[in-house]
Amino acid sequence: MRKYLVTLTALTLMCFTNVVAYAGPLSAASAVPVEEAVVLPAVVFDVSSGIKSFDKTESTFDESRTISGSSEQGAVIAISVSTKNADGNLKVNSAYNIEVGASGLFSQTIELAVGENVVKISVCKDGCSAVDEEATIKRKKREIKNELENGISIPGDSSFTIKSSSFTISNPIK
Amino acid sequence: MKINKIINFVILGLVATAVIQTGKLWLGDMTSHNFFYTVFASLGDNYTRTLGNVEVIEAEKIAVGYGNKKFSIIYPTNENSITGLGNQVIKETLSKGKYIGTSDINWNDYLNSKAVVYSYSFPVSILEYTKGFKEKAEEVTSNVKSFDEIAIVPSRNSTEELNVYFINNSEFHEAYCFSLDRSGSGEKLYAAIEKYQQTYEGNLIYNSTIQSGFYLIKNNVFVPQWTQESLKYSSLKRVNPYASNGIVYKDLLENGLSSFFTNQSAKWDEQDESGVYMFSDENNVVKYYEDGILEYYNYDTYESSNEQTLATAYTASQNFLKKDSTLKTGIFLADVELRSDGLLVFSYDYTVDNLPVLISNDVKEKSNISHAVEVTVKSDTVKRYKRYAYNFEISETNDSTANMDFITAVDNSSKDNLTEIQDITLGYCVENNDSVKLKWFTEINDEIFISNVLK
Repeated sequence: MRKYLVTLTALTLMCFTNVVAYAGPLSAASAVPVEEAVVLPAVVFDVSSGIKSFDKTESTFDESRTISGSSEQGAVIAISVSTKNADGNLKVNSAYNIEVGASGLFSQTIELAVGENVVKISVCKDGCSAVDEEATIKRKKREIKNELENGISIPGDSSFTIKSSSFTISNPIK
Repeated sequence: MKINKIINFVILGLVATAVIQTGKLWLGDMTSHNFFYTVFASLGDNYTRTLGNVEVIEAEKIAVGYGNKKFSIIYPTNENSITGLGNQVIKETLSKGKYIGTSDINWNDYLNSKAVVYSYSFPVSILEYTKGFKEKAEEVTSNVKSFDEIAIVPSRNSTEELNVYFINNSEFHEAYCFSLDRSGSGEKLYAAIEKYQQTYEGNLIYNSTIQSGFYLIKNNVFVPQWTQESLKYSSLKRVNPYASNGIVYKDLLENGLSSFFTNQSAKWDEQDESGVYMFSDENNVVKYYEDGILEYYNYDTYESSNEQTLATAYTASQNFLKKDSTLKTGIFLADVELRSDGLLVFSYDYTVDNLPVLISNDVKEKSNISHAVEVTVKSDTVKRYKRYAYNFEISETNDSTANMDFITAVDNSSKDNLTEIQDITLGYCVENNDSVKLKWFTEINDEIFISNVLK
């Protein structure tokens, strides 16, 4: 009888007692070496002309833009020019791939559509981590430039415009 | 009464002069708006009379900048409103330009807005240059010694100041700035640049290597680029002016070369065993070789008493070139060399459609000629004239393709350690056949590499 009770008590205790094992603190002596993550250097890349500043919007009246710069020999530069379609999604209008040669130079003329052009530049090279940049170039219609150059706007109110060629005042100054 | 009549005539004379002056002020651009200077002061000026007929030393090529990092190239042999107006602005600068100062060369200052850049292949003495404009130009000559480029930055209207920079890149690496007030020509030049930009139909747009940040290229060079994957262009055909159906005729030669002889009846001719034609009189000899080389020699011992200068010798070479009636293709001044014996050699190359036509190394070696045309002048007389005697015409419109850009051409030309590129040009390359196509000419360490335009 006693044996049964002892056995039952032991079994009950075993069922309701959580045995939790915790890993002890890792000491230097017992540490197992883990493979270190390889960090690749970023590919050297510089745009010296064609993009004034990444992450900013710039405006132009030109139909095309030449993007020039330098990088490492063997680097591959992918340039894409996209505009937003009616659904608001980016649609790639043109794409260019350039492999940088011994001179380390690259230059690509891209065509710009009227409106906002999102220019994405991606540079990669074996053994290096890729570099991605993006810029927005807003192309305006040339007619606007001609109007701006041929008219003089009185500061303060854009509705007053004096045509410099004909000297007619469209709205008399009150 | 007599005194009254004299007074009346004087008044009439002054009135007439005033009317003429006012008319010119309205319709043209006077050197000075000073009534007395223009009419009376110039009467006493002997400077222009002593100069005689001296030509303006023309640039090798002219770059037209639109202010948006895009350029076009014009060769001065082609008549163009921009070159004419540019020369007027230079003349005004020589006459009344105000010296601003000397500074380091800063191409961004000159090229960020509309500009015209004249490029020379050698340093030009300012004194010799001003002779062609018949201007004493004391303000300019006292501050500039020589230059190899001129940058004109015109203003939109004549009320704004215009700047002209004489740039010495090869010797002193300096720019000499002059400003011009109330320049009517400057305003017209600005408008002409805008119009040229709008009406330009060519396939090539040029970029400045300095503006593009290509410091591997030593000096500022204007390099062509195309927006599409490839460039469609027209090849040239080489035409012998002395031949018909590929056969050289003595009659054609004789007619073409007659302008080199003053007395036609005193001329005699012969053809030797190697096929070389020779025409000669007492003082002049002209030879024509089978490979198309024309050589002229002047053995006249008469020498002018006037001292030869660069400007007078250049004028002599230009006047001689006009005599060559079979020279139909445009040419540009590519180099000038002063030899130890006092001979000045002016070297020219051909140009078609605002692109240079350059001779390949094979043709140079075979014909012993370094440029298409060489004019040797001594005592303002042409002593020797050597020409690769062909003309070049566009064969068919857009019959050829180029798809290798200038950077790839540089990459292909470069050796193991590429440190500096002196120049790079896209031009037609003359080889030993009648079809002439585009090639890249890259100058590295004084050596020229010629590479294809097709990958």
